Formats: sequence, C-alpha cells, structure tokens
Amino acid sequence: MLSFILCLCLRATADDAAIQTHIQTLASRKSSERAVALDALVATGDARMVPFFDAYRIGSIYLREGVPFIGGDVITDNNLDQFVSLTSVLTGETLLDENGEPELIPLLELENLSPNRKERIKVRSVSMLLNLSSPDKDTRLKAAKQAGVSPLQTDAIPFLTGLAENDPSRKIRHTAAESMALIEFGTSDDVDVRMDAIRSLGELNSLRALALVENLLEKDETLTPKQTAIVTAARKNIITHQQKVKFFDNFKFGLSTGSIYILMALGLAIIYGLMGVINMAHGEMMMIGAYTTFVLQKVFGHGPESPQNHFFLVALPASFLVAALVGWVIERLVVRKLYHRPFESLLATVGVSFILIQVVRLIFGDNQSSNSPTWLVGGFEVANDMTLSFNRVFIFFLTMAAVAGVMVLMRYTTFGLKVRATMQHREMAASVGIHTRRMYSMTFMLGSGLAGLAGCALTTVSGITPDMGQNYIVDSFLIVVIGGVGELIGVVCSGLGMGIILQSLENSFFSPVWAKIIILTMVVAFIQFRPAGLFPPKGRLADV
Amino acid sequence: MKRKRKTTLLAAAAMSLLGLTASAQETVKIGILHSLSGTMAISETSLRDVVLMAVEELNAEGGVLGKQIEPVVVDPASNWPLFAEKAKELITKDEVAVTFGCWTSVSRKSALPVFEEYNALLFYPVQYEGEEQSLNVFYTGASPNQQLVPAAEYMIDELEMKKFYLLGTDYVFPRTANKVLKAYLLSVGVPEENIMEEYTPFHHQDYQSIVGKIKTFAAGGDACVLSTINGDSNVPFYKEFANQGLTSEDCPIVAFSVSEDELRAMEVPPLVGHLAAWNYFQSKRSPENIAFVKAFKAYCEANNLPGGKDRVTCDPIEAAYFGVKVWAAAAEEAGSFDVDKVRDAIYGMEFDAPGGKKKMHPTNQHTYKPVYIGEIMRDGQFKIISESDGLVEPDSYSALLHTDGNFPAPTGGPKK
Repeated sequence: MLSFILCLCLRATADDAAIQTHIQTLASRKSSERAVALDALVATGDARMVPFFDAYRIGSIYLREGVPFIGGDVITDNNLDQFVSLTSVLTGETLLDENGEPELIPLLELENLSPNRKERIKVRSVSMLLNLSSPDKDTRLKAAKQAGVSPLQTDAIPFLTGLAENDPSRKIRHTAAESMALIEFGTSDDVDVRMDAIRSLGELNSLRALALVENLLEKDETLTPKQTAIVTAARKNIITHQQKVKFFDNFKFGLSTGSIYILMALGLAIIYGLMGVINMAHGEMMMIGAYTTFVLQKVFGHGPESPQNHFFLVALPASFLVAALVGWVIERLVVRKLYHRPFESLLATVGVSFILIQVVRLIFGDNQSSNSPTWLVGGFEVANDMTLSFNRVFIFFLTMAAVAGVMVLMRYTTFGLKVRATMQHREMAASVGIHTRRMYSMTFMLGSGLAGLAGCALTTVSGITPDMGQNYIVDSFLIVVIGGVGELIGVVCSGLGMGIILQSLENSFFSPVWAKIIILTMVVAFIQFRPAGLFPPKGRLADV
Repeated sequence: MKRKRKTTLLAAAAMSLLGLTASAQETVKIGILHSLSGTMAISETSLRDVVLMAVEELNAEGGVLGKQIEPVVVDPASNWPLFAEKAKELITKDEVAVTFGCWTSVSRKSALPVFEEYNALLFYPVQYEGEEQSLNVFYTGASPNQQLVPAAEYMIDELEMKKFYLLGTDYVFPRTANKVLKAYLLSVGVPEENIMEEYTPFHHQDYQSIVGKIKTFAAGGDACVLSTINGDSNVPFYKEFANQGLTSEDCPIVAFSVSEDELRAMEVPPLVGHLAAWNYFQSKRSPENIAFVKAFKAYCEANNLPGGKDRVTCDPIEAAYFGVKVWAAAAEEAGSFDVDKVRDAIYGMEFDAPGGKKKMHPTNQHTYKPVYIGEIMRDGQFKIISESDGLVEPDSYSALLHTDGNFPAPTGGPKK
C-alpha cells in the first residue's frame, strides 16, 4: 500500500475512462468483481480518490447513467420525495440548475453504491492514510488518532513520523507520536522495538495505552525483570497522569454541577429566604425561560444549518423578563392572598406548577429540539486530556455574574434596602413609607426571573420538556435549606459543595443512583446537627 | 338496462341507509391506554394519535364486522398502578373488545394481572426485554433477539468492537436487556472486564461523570456504548458526549430507545453517525411506507395535533398502527369479537404493515420482524446500514438466560 501512496504523490491523474469503469463495477452484485475493482481504484493513486473513498464509505456515491457522482446530504421534501445534489467524481464539478444553485436530483433516478463491511474497512484504512497528509487540521488529527486503532498499519509510520516532528499543532504532534508507538508495539516482532514503544507511551502519558500496558503486566509471563521494570514505569507514569486528569475532572464537573444548582437555587433562596413563601412552581419558571429561548430560536430561524447565534443574546434577557412577568401574575393571583399561610401557599403553587406544565404541553407538544448557539458547542483542551466544554464554562460565569448582581442589588441599592427592611419587619417598613406590597411583588418577580435565566442557560446542556422543572426543584430546595435561609453566600457554598461531592462520588465507584442516595443521607445527617443550615440567620431574623 | 341501474341505485341507497342506522346503533368499543401526561407522555401521545388514525381508516372502510369502532381514550398519567385501574375500568365499565396500550415495561407488568383476570386482550407495541408470554397480550414490538442481540452482533462482526459499555435508565427494561446483552457478549467470548454496566435514575440530567468514565473506558479504542437510556435523559447525555469531544468514530453509541420521534427533541448534529437498532425506520423506501408516513402527517395536521405535518413515524408508531389492523383482520376472520376466537385467528397471521410484510408467531404471541441498524443523519432520520435476511423469529424467553432449555409456560389465557 505504501507504493500506492507514493504513486499518489507522483501521479495526480489517472485515466478517466478506467476510473469510471472501475466505479461502475462497484455496482456489481458479485463481491469478487467488486474487490478487483476496488483494488484497481486504490492502485490508480489518483488524488480524486480521496473524496471518493470518503463518500463511498458512507454510501454517498451515485451512478447517473453510468457516470459516478458524490452525493450531498439527502433532502426530503414535503411529499417525502428525496433529492440529492451531485458532484462529479471525475471533474469535481457540482451539477447546477438554471439559477446557478446546486441541482436537486430525485434519488429514484440514481443508482446508489453501498459498500459491504469488508469494503468499508478497506476504504477506511486507505482514507486514513490519505488524510494523514490532509491540509485540514481536524482531518489530520482524526487520521492521526485513527492510525493508532486497529487494524494497525505499518504503512502509516512514515507519515506519522513526519507529523510527530513537523506538524504545527502540538496536539497533532502528540497524537501522531502516540499512534506511532501504538503501531510499533502492536505490529513489531522485535522485543526491543516494543519496549521502546512502551517507554515512549509512558513518557507521552498515553491513556490510550493504559489497558494495553496493564494487560501486558498481568498476562505476559515471558517478560524479563528488566522489561517488567520498563512496563511498570510506563504504567506508573500513565496512572499518575490519569489521576491528575480525574482530579481535574472531578473539580470541573463539580463546579459545573454546582453552578447550575446555584443558578436554580438563587431565585428560590430570594423568594423563600426573604418572603418565606415556598414556591413549588419555581421549576416551572425555569421551564418558561427554556421555552422562551426555544420560541426565540424559532423566531430567529436558528438551526444547525443556518446558525443565527445572536438569538441567544436576546434570549438571555427575554427569558428573565418573561419568567418575571409570569411570576408577577402568579404573585398577584395566588401568592398574595396566602402570605401568612405557608402550607396553603405551598399547595397552591403545586397546583400552579401542574397547570403551567399542562398548558405548555398543550401548546408545544412534548418533543422540542433546542439548538445551542454554535459558540457554546464543543470545548477546548487546557492540557493533555483535560478539556473544558464551552457551555459549562459559560454557565459558570453566568452564575457568578447572577450572584454578584443579586448581591449588589440587595446590599448597595435603595431597592435592596427596602426589600431587606420589608423582610425584617413588614409593619415597621410600611410605617416608614415603604410600599411593602410592591416590594413583595418585585422580589417574587426577581426570583422568578432568575429561574427563567437558569432555564435559558440549561437549554445548552439538556433538553426542553414541559416537566423539566420537576427535575431540579428538589435539589434546589436542598441547596437553600443547607445553605441557610436568606443567605446568598450560603447558597453559593452549599451549591458548589454539593456539586463537587456528588460528582466525586459518581466519578469514583458509585453509580449515579447510589451517589444520590449518599448525598441525601448526608443532607439528612447535616440537618440534624445544623438545622438552620451553614449560615444561620442572626439577630432579629433568627426569631422569625 | 336503465331500469336495472335504477334498482341498483335504490338498493345501494337502502343499504347505505341501513348501514347508517347500523353504525348509529352498533359500535364496538376499543380501549386506548397510553399516558397523555407525566414522564411518558413524550412518547406515548404519538401512539394514541396513530391508533386513532388506524381506527379512522377502518371506520371509513366500514368498520369491523359491520360495526363502527368507538375508541375509548383514558389517561393513566405515567402512573404505573393507575395503568391497572384504568385497564379494569376499560374492561368492566366500557366493556372494550380489545385494548391498545402501555409503553414502559413497568406499566405493562402493572396492568397484566387485570387483563389475565378478565381474559381480555392487550396489544403492546413497544420493543421490550422479553421474559414474558401472556396469552392475553400480543407483542407487536421487538423481543430481545430481534433488536438487542442483532445490534451487538453487528458491532462485533462489522465494526470489530471489543469493549462494551452498557448504559441504561434504572428500571426493568434496561436491567433485563443488559442481562440478555451481557449473556450474549460473554457467550461470544468477550471477556468480562471488557463489559461495563451502569444505570442512571429516570430524568437524570447530569452526564458529566458518566461520559468521563466512558472516555476513559474507550481510550484504547474498539469500544462502543449500548444505550438503553429512556426518555428525556437522552438529550443531556448526547450533548455531554459531544461536548467532551467524543464522536461516533471514537466510540459509537447504539441506542435501543431513541427513534425518529425522540430525535425531534434533540439537537441532531452531535448525534450524527451514532446508531440505533429497530425493526422499522421512517426512511424505509417503499410505496406502502411513504403512503403511511404521508397519512400520519396529514392526520396530525388535520387534527391540529402539536407538531402537525412535522411529525414523524417511528418503530413503536408502526407497531401500534399495524396492531389495530391485525386485530381488525382477526376479528373479521373469526367472525366474532370474542377474545379466544380472535386470539386463535391472530396466531400465524401474515399481513402487510407499512414497513413491509410481517407475520404473527403461530404460538408465542410475538411478531416476526426484520431487524435494521440505522445511522443518524443530519435531518434526524436514519440511514439504514444493515438489514437482516428476511424476518427474524421472535423469542418470548431468551435462550441466553434459560440455558437449560426450560422455558416457563405462558400465563393467562381463557378462564377455566
């Protein structure tokens, strides 16, 4: 196969007629004929075979009157007829209609070539070799990674050597060196070469090699003490690295889970802590925020094919406002009448939450797709094997901003002063001229709005369903109770603490079911010893 | 000639008049037992819709045994014990001839004793974990050997996978399904340490650490996830999977509970290239299927159902639809709505479903079905990449779990 790749560099084009005939033969029913044709196509070493093989592997090659084409995505119209745009394999030109747009050809007029398993595997390894010299960075990286996975090919080594030494991307250099060592270890008969490979895998902190190395230590009895020492050293290296990654992950996962908890609990803490109202419809405020985001996404026409990312910048304030508005209505119609009857207000808000869920279900149905703005998809690598996802980082900073905003609002503004005064002693506050009703109403709106904001942010990590709020309401209450009623700093500490403990449990040997049980047990135990939470209210408030 | 025509017309008018009065007086009731609220509403509402559509079609053709079908829709609200109560209500109060319903296995298990007690009939349209054979249920979804095992087989034979991460929601279907899968994987020589099993609660939203574990598990390559995650947890799972930088090339996910209908609720790009195993896909190209898909979309639009013409069909929708048709054909054949006679007529029945010819098993209550493996495409549909040779015979009890060949006897049946 190496000779074929060399050919590729020498000869850019092969005989068009021959290529066409070979591709036509791929439509044959006889697998033996197809195998010969595929070999012949590989042997042409023609540069046009790169896109051809990629398309062939996923079954996107079509014959139209015997001429081979690469098909684009299949498009289905309202009548369920299917169409595809075609690009010629030989000339690389796309067929256009009279308007200069790609022409859509009905699928029924075309003959589709679909490879069987053997052919797919063969084509995959050929494309991998070709992609190692791709100008596109991501394609090179993918190919470099794939080279280290079976079926291992020694043919890839010269290319990988080149990449490992000269590629501008550090990540690709690293991956290429790793794959090279994996191939050498997997294919060489020479013990010294294999030991060298192991040594460099250890130096590369290769997580991909860990299973291999452990297997070797456990199963291979022919190792000499010296070799065992090499393998053990490599294993130690990799495991140390793995532990670092794990620690980083636990911390990262915990921060992220914790920041979602905080964002959810923040609004609840304000309403429950300051007003003493147990708002069971808080989760539904979040759901409303999420649906506001969804509606705006539709209005802006945002989708994976045509990203309109600015919709999200509108959705953030809009979800806050819509949820705050719904909160205002609920406060007006339901909560206001029940300020001195906490149990009735609890039951009434449960009822409100059911009503909201079913209303949303009737309007939108159950299944809704949400598409995050493209800049919140994916992640970046901080260090080897340690990545941060954009959406998680975004939520973390949004949470911090929300917490800071609420703190500033409560501590340093007249509004905050009035709210705190009302909460401490309503009658006294009223007697100094504070419109206490309005204060309650506005606090409720603020809390609901924050839940709406949380809903908007959550669309980037999970789906949108009418009952999504129910998944978070219990956790949010736990956070508020542990944190201590009415203290924002308590919410921050308990949210982060619970997030990190939960994720560390899950990431060790506990399943999520057990992790949850353990967390709940811990909460119950904690409440026994500190019934008022981490930061109990002091002074006058403590008597309330 | 003229005269003859007149009499025929008269006769036709008289007959239609008779038919009208007959339909006004004589109807046969059927029950629809699907959750329209709560967790499972997300999936089950579509099944109610398609059953009503099938009923509408049958009624337009003159009903069954000359009687118009009158559907009785109840809402068990994703509340498992309520399924039993509602089933009892349908059977004793409404006296339905047959019931179409249930999605989760736990709901079926809850209602089953009621159907057996009254010797009533239930059509269950969803793939499930097997290990059950009640004479009062016809299973039109897949049994494990028609979905789980062929998918695992495909991953081993075609994609040469060596490590398997069995991930599911914590309830009876994933637990039993994974038992079957594990028994199969061990039987074909996959070492125990290459199989991981993990469960998450219903509604689980935070998949960070699980995806982290999968990443470690799949680091050496040749690993795949066999997912029996159900319901709304799928969205955060696939999102997290993509956001941690994993792709279908690093570690493909084969889903057993993600169909076209669930994909409507998901951001599709991160899912492209992942797989699912089913017995029907909307993308199946055949005139019958295209007509079915069009009819379903038109029905949803005409009845102002949420989603309207954007609605899609999927495996359980097809199974729920042909279940109604199978029951109607069997009643016609038996000349009666009597459960025991209808049951005998169903055994071994061959019929045309939207997805192609199918057959009821002559003895074990299940359905012969083809098996497809599909790859998720950008438009939320599946590209069929593997297809079984013809129909696969269903097992009620898995030979993998009953290695001694001692299969339990069917339960329920005619009252003694």
